Amino acid sequence: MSNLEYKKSKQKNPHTHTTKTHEDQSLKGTFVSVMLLGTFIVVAWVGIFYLFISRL
Amino acid sequence: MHLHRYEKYWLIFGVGTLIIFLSVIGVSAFAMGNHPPSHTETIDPQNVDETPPFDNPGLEQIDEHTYVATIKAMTFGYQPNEIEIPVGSTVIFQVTSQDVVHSFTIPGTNVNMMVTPGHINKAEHTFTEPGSYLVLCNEYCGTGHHYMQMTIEVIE
Repeated sequence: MSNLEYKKSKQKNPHTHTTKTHEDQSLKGTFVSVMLLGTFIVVAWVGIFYLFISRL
Repeated sequence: MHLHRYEKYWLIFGVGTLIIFLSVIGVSAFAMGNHPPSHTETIDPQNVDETPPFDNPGLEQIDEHTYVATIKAMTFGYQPNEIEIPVGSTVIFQVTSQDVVHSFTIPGTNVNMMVTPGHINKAEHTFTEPGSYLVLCNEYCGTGHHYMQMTIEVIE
């Protein structure tokens, strides 16, 4: 939506935008993504650290 | 401030891993002495040949199982070109360059450091397996870069 279209729609219906409360939003997908990324970082870190220690 | 339940979980996870990572690195650095091979010692790169200990590069035994190897890196080789040590020895390599940036790398070990003119870099390794170890330069230093190597003979 362009800036102009957005302004027009706001002028027509100024109160249509509703927000869900914070707790209502489903963060399950975000949570899974964050944990997958976290697991990757932990596995990579442990792997590299093990490589360093094993070559001492 | 209100936080979603999942937000609390991943914040705890993130902060927890950060604390674990930093603790492990802190203990290994300050209690076990693991550190990168950089060193604050400097040297005049124009007069490497006249500056001790690099006026007499080679291997020096400092106690029963410990040696100091003083090595000059130059285009395109190392001086000395070969050192021989008994198995089980710990060698402290102190290396400097008399021309451009080189590296001192023993593949398969943690010895992998840059050798910059004007600086003396140090790395330590204990050789527990006998054999012939290749030392390579892995910083491109000129047209003969791929010929730049030396060997460490670890004998029984």
